[in-house]
Amino acid sequence: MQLAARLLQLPLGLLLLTSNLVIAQSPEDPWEKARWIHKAAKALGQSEGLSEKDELDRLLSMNRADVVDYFIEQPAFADATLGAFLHFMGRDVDKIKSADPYTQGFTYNPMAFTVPQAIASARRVMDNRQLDLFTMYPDLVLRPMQTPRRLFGDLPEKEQREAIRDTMLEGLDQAMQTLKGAGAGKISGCEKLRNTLEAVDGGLGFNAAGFDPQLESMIRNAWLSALVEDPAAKEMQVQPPLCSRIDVTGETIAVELNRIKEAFTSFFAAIPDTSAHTPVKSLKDFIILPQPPAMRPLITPFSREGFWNQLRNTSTNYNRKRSAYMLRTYFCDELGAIEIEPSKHSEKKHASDPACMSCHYKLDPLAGLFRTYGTQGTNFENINLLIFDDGIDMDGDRLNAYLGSWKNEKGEWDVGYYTEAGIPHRNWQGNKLSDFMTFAGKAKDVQMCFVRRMAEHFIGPGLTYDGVWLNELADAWQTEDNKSVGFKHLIKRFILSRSFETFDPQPGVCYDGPSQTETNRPPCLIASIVETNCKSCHNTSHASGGLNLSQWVDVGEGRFGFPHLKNGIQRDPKESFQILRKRITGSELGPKMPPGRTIIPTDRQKFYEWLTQIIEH
Amino acid sequence: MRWMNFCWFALLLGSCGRNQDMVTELQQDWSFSSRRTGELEGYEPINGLMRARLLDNNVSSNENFAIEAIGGPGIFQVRGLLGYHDNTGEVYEFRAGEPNPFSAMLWYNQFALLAHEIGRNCERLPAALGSISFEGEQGAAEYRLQSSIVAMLPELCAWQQTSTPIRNRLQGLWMLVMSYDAPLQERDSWLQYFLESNHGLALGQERVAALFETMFMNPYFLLQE
Repeated sequence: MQLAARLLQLPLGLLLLTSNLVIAQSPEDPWEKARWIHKAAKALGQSEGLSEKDELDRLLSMNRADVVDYFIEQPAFADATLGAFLHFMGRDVDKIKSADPYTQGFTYNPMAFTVPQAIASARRVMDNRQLDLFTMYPDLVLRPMQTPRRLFGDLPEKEQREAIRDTMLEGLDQAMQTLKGAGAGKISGCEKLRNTLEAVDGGLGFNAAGFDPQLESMIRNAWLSALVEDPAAKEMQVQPPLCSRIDVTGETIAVELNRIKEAFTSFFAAIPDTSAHTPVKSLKDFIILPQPPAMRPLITPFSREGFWNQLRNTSTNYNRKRSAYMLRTYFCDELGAIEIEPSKHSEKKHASDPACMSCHYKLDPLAGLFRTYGTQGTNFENINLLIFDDGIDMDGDRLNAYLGSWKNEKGEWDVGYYTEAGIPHRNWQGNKLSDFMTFAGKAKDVQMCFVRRMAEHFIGPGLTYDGVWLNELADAWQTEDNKSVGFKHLIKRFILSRSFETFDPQPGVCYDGPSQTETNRPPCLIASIVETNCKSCHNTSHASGGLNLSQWVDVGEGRFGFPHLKNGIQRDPKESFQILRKRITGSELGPKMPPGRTIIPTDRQKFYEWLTQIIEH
Repeated sequence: MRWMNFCWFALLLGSCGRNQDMVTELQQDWSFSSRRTGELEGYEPINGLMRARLLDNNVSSNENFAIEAIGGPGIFQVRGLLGYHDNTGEVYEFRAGEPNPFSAMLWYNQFALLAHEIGRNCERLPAALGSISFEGEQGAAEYRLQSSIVAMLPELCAWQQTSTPIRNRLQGLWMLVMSYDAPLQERDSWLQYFLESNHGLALGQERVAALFETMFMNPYFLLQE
């Protein structure tokens, strides 16, 4: 229904866009300007909109660009930034935690693995430091998660934390005493430390339902268990626990324990008071802390607590769930099914059916980056065993066959980000998961996806955005020396856009377009796709095959379409669209389009869907 | 989205039996073409708005205000129908956002309870103003209105329809609750109804409840931008 409505509105949208007839709210109307300021304030972090401290009269006297600058300079912009990055990572949460009415405590959204990246990025923006979208700052991961459940009855929040801190410090003191008692004897010291760890567990209620799992992770898995043997934690540690290293003495452990005590003390000392119902807003204090207390990394981006638990693999579906998440998150690829003609690369492979291939040609190679990661994210690389999350294990020939499904005829890894069946992205290099993060940090496709997600977040999710406009914004952002400053400029462009300015916008209408637009430009939904991929061969001066994809005109009887001639006569638009759809998905009518070049998978998919809609309606 | 307009229309006509005349007149004043057609805000954002605009942020118990809980356990069990953020899947989704007659009825139920309780302050004049209490999902819960609203209550409870000062007071109340969420015409229609129409609300507490109820049910308050 909505799609049909969008289609019907396309000519209107085009008309509005090209003739600049979009009706803007009058900036001179004080109420409407105040309304726009209110909307801008909400988008830029003032969650409730204008407040008394915002001095409306002063804001009304400012031009809109200055109003945006004013709100961007407010600390609350950190909230907007954090929310934006969370949105990009696929988590539009309004609250990090919420009261659990059944346990007198709090529940956390299962989104831990997106928080550190979002916080790290937001923090960079707030500090005007170089924005590196995919650099992790894991020491920040636990900060938003710090407020414990009501472990000690009905004590106020602050006293709850103090009680936990005291219990923890007491446990650490006991551990220090244990070491003293054991002298420098590491083995007996470590045994007693293990007992202490269990005592601390009990003292803090780790084993009782309802304790803050993140704080547990911090104390138990990351710190204390770094010292003593802990089978569960051992897998996740880069270094083995100190107690199992022959080069470590009791004194070394005491030093480490003392460091933990100091870090723990500073951790609690640095935590501002937050309340049970504080939304993302409460995180700004963490973000704008000038120097977070030094802590060693506690958790990695793909952690047991986050990614691996949320996105489990199975012995039948392998790692495709993880792969789908990556495509959706970093490439805005919702994996819509289109009929893609199988290529020779897909023969005899899983899902070589055309409908399946439309997703699997990119899903499978990306899943190959996770090929050695088994249950709970354990990396089985160089081990003749792989255990999946469903409990099934593989070894020997079966494991070799499993790994071999990601190799080509030459025995090379056929894994990574692929844009066509058997063809990796031109900039793709490597065969490991870490290579993906390197690639994604620089890929234009990811930047475009990011800009699109930002438009959805700051303007609205249900609107149609002109791809060329978004492309221009992405380029402008990337050309700035300081990407954090560029990010702020990007957001400013969104807030000053017509799309944002327009109340009650219509779906299917692009309210903003590129700086230069030609007459009879194709509908904004697909204009950027044909301009980028098709126009060089199908334009007004050179209409290969009689098709001119640079123009969108009335082709007769009030029906719009591309000029598409056969023997000098315009084809019926429906026939023209059907031919186009076949040409971009297969070679039935000639070489698959565009020949000799790569089209972004999501662009092909979007063009295909648009053609299908217009053919069927 | 005319179907949605119809839903709202049906909801208000069907659920506001005691204020049917009021609803009909308000309905006539609304301009459908400029109404928002977004999804429901969801109960968490509405709670945020309530805490920020209605409740005293110096009272710690107000932090626990939950619109989804004030209708009792039955409503609380189906709170998801009010619209909520679902983070349990691989990606975030906002669920139950599209308004339908049932979710609109649920919202009306919650708002009517809240508005009625605010109106009950008129019974307590001149003392004990500003307190609202409910039999919530976990027993009785009490919250406190912010001082600027409390200060208005005596006058709102006793106001005379045509007096000029009350117009300013009502404008102030609109700003406190609605801020600049809605176009000016929405406020003017609201003012016109309460100042000029024969709405048949004789009791002060009924009028006060109706003032709040009509703002809460305004699509510019309840629906996403």
